[in-house]
Amino acid sequence: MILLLYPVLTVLILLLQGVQHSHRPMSLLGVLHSAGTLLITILIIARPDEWSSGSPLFMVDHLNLLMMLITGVIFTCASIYAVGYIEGLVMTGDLNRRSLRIFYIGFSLLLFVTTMAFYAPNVAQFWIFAELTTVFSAVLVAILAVKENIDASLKYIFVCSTSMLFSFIGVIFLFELMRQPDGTGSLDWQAILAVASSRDSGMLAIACIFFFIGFAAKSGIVPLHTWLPEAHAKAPSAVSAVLSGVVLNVGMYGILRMTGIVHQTSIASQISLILILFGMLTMSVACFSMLRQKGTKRMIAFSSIENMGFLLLASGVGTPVALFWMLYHIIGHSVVKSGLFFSAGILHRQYKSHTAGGEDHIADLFRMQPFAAAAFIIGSVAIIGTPLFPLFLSKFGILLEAGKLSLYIPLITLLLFALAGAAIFRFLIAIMGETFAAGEAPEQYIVPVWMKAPVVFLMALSVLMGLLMLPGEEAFLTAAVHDIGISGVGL
Amino acid sequence: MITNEVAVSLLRICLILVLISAACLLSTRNLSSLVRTYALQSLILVAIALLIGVLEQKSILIFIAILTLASKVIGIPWFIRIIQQRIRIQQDLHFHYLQPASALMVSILLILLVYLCFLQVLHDLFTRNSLFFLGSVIGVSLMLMGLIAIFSRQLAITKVIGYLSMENGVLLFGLFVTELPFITEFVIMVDLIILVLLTTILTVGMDSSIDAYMNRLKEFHLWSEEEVNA
Amino acid sequence: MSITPVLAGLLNLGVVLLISPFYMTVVKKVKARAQRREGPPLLQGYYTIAKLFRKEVVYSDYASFISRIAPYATLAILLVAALLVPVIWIPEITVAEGNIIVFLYLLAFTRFLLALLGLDAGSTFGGMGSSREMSLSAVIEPTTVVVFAAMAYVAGTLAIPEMFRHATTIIPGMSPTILLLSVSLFILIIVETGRIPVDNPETHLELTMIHEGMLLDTSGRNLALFELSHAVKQTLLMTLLINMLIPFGIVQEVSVLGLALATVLFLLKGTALSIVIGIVESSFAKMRFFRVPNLFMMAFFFSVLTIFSEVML
Repeated sequence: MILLLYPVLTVLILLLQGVQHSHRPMSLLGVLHSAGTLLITILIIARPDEWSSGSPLFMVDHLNLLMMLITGVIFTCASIYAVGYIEGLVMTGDLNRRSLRIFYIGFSLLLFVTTMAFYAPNVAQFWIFAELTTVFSAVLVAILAVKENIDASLKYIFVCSTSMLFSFIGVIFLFELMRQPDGTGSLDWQAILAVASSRDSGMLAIACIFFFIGFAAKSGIVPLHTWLPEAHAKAPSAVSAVLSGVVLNVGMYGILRMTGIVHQTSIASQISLILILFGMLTMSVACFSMLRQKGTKRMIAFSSIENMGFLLLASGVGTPVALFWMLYHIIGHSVVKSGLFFSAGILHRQYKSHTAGGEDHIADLFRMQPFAAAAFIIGSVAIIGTPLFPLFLSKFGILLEAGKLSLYIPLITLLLFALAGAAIFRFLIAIMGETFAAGEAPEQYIVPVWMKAPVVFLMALSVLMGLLMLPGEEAFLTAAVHDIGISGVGL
Repeated sequence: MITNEVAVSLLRICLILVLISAACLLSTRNLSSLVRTYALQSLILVAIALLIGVLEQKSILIFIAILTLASKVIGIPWFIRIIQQRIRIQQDLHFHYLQPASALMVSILLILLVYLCFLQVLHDLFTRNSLFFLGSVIGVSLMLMGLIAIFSRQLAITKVIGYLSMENGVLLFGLFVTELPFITEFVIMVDLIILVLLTTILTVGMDSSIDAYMNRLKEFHLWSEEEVNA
Repeated sequence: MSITPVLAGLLNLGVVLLISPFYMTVVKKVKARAQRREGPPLLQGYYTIAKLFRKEVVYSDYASFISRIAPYATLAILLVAALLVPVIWIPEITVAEGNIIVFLYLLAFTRFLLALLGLDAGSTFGGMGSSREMSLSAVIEPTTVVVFAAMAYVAGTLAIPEMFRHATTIIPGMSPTILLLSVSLFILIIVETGRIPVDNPETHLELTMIHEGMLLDTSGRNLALFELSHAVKQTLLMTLLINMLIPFGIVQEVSVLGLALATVLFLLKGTALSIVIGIVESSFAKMRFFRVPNLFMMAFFFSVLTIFSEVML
């Protein structure tokens, strides 16, 4: 019954938010909510006997616990970061004080619906909560009430929601597939997984393709990625981190579950081919786009697209080992990417462009923001998959598996990775070389400790993950791969 | 009581009317008639739900019909009309990518494509009940036409209507192919209403200046008065 | 036995010729009423034609033989077309050899003559009118073909009388395909007879006129003949719509009472349709020339849809 603590906590926090007036308590409540969620998740992980006794609203297995763990960590970091960041926004007048309540309520609701989406036992429920994550994250993107933000937010809603409608068609197909002659049927993930092999594979293929459309849009797969750079770049950095580190995972989670179902049937190879193709396409588009980015956050956003493409490729490869590393990559990507967004947020606060729509002019980087600069560089090194960082391991593992299918996949992918790395470092070198003309430098922005702590934590976590397997991690991930429905004993 | 033959032929007429309304949505430039067309389209859906309810003796469809009537025929159009008065835009004259004429062309091709695809996939349904098969084809076609409306329209508020019409297509498809549990339909409806409310409020921001937007947030009571004064 | 087709043909021609000016006037009357004017008396169409017949014919100095024969040829061609479309009576034996394709060609031929006539007088307005007419007809032609093809497909025959016979077997308003077809046919009527929103039959402004532009140089009897052929064309298209959508009352077994009843019914249905046309015409604004293809696309869409729904249902 620990699971019920999630909604209880949310209701409690929302009620308390309702009576707050000043920023500090609201933001602390946000931290409390995220930390509480993380705590509950850890509690559930520690007590496996609780897993099956949940209410019909929850289904617990290793896979969604893993996702929830990431969610909890990222949300906690983001909410701590928000304490300082949002205060800065309010101080400078970017964020209207009156929007604060909407922001924090939206933040808590986003956390709640993400939780519910991960724990959703059946496809329809998952669809609904995934759709709601779009709604609430769009609120958070639009919160600054600048025209560009509203534009980005609307684009986000339109692209994701319309694609999600296609997914719903897929859900209807699935239901038709699962329906018993007496008209009842269950859309439970487990039930579908169990009987998928005995159903009409043509219809399942159509259902899957429709289903993928929506969740591909949610995780920013080309050609449905257009919303992502804008939404992620325009949102407040605390929100960008959550969008990149958690909300994209919702889409990936859906695709993963569906891949597991497909792998029970004979159409697995065709669907895998589609996934691999779109994964490669996404990566190429993202890598080439990265070459011509001028804005920090847009650059990071395109890197998210690239990583999502890589994850899609991994799910297409579909061997237990590939999926193991895919899950690992999801963790690594979320951790590193949020750290990057956090440090980009600090840079943005420092070098904020005062002309509407203009890019930030970054200069005198090390003199003015040594902390953020260091964090940003470490994050960049980590995100392109340098050894010692977790993304290296996962990229290595997945490419090895992909090489078994065709040698061209790792070849092209490595080329694209090189391209992405070149793009990021070209960008870094460009901003490092800049200096302000005398008297033009903006006032130094004093980074509050609230904003530094999550960055330090995330960077330390990523180094730790890269250096050693945490105790129990391997077994947990292997169990999660098993939950997807792809048999095999892992490594 | 309506006999089965009459219900079937009425259903056919309704299906055709749905497509006609979709064609109108693609080519109308006047905002208020767009909203009216959408409301009519939803009304046709209500009729379809009732007719299927009569044909298949399912009382659940009557609830769905009532829900649709309340939300899509009355509620959402009313809300959009209010927003429309606030932003004082009557026409959406510009189209990207596709002019209405070519949009209609493309939709003809899409309908054909959907028909051919579904003939492969849903042959079971086709042999069982060709009318229901046609319904599902038209449902998906309506959805694709809504999609065309979304990306060929320029104003956010017309995009919202395109989205809503897509959603009608999904409902139509759901009605004909299978019956989902009522609770799911209900939650989806709520979900959509939240989405539409949000989008339209954002639309106000998009299609008007920011100061006006701030004022409107107050009008919609999203900002409470005490905080305004604080 | 051989008397029937001749009789039926003559009856058809008589009815069409007699009724046509009346429908034109009804449309004018409705439009006038919509503008809060009194409008012409219902017999004005006949008066105008009678008046024009008495007037002198003046030809342009540059006019060739085209200007002299076009009025007669146009009416003659339309009367031949009228033989193909039974109005109130579908006889057992076909009246004239020919089918919907011939009908289409005959309509196109009159248009061709009209365009030549516009060019013939050597005035700029006529030339403009012809050029517009031809570009519009190039756009509308595919739509017309598909609409007629849809009609033929639905009825399963190319002969127009057989189509009407098929239509009588359907409960009015109960077949979605017929409904769709009617919408397309209605748009076709609007376009073919040069009405708002495509063309404005009442204007003589340089920028807007199409049909009137070509007739600008005709006078007297010739103008009367053109007015009459325009009216006949409209009646023929209206007949197609009426007898496909609401064919009840049409006579298949000949009897005097039946024919009289059918005539009265047709008069009523035609008047109702003219009123609808008038209302539509008054409630729309004239479209920009380059936006007209959208209207055609609607008709095209509906007729393709007709074929679809006939295939699928």
